[in-house]
Amino acid sequence: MKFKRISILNILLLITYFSCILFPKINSYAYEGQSESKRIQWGNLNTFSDKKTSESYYLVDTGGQLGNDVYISSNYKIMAGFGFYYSLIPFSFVIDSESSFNFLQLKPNTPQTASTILTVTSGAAHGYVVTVQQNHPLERFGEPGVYIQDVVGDNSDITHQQEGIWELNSTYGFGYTLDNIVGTDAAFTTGYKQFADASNSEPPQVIIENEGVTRTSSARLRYKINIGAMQKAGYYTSIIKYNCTGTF
Amino acid sequence: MKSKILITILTLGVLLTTVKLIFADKIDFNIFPTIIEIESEPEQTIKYPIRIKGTGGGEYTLKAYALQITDNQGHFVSSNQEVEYVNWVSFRPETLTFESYEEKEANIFVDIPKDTQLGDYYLSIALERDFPDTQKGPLLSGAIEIPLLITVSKEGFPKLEADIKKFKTSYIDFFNPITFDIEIRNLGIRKLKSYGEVEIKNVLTNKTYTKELIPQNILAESTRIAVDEQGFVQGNEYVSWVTPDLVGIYSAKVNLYDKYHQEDNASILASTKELTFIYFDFFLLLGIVIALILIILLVYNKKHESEYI
Repeated sequence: MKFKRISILNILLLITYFSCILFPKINSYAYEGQSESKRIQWGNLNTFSDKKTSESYYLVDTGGQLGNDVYISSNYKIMAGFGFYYSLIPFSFVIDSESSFNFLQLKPNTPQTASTILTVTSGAAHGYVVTVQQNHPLERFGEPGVYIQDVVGDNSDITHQQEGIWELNSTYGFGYTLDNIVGTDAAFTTGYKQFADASNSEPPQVIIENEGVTRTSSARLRYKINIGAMQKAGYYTSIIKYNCTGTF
Repeated sequence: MKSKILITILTLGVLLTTVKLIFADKIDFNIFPTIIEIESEPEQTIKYPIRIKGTGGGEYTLKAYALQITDNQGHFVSSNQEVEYVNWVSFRPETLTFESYEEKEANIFVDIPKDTQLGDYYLSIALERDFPDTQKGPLLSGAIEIPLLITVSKEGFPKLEADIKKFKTSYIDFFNPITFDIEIRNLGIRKLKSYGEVEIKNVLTNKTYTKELIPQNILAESTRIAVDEQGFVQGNEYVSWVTPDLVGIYSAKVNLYDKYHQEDNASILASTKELTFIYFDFFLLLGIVIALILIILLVYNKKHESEYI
């Protein structure tokens, strides 16, 4: 019995001894840079010497010196692109309203929807941001000052910054929601918001964004409109502006 | 009877309410490069070509705006602020029409006036397109924008000025990688790049390690969170370092340089005080604790047995 007890403890000590040697290796850190749009592998993380390639870009090997697109003359220097990496993907933005459409004749208490698909590929070093803003609320053509108001929601909590519920057909106005098609870059995907109103000094609002180099991100912006029986007949228009900036 | 007629008229009126919001199909924007930086002197004209792709059937317009920084991570928006230096920039051609989806070239001209004050001027170049409705005017509009950062300097002035606003790490760490929060502040009136490194010294072994920072733009009078390669790839907002040691007492500091620090005449722009931290590998610690417990048990067991005998 004594012998057995001592042997078990000795075996445990032996295991502990080996675990002291082996376990730290489990904790050793092997880095492999990878995301949806980029994949970079380092031979040695703590040096800045190897060429780091990915499907999307490569980091410039010179460890911070200027990149490929540098033009120097006696009086000026131009640097085009990011010095520390060179993008292999373009900076593009597509606004696709599927096919020509508009909200046709509206009936009171009968909401209508339409959509626009926004797609971005961004070779900018730190991703991109897409914002949206309208010049003013939907205004009756030929009669300035007559509007279809921006929606305030079923709980009167919708603003251009705050989304809220809009399910009731007795809630009137104009607003939008978002959903992701490729990626997860949409700023919100439940509820509705108002469009930021430039005539009311409301700044453009971010609708999709990504912090990294982005091969393809796509989101759908769905417009929704609903009018009451007292809405004056006529054409109502506004300009919706989508703006895509690359983040540096 | 009258009220019935009125209701009928009102109903017809309501049925004619039409919102002609969007009348569009597709707009493509594509621009190269994604950022342009110019360093020059007053009274210079700089020309640079940019490549643009667009879809057919519409006019694209190139415009310049003032640039407004929105945070310390490189985000910006174009501003309608009327500033004189927007007029330095012109485009030839300013308007482009595409027959189909094709690529064209336009030249940016930057004319820096003679009496320009030395310093930085930040702009945004926008490629814009409206979707006009033949009857009701434009209804949908889009733009893609890139930053144009202009530094006007002469004989080394204005000087670069910076400090490191934040440098933090945990006092004790058990897992790799060790992370550092670093925020650099540009105190000057011209942009600088975060050429720098974290210098880490193991006090026990006297070995020194370095970790490079990615040279990001830090605009005048603004701050920026520093990242390394890994932070850049993974979108982290910190610098990480993998210690090769199982145990170590380290001192670390950040050195910021005026240019890439391996260049001959690079000099230190700012430095932090040394931070001290300890690394003790978790599994090594776990092994030692288990070993100690087992030794105690063994000793206790032996003692107990001798008492029993």
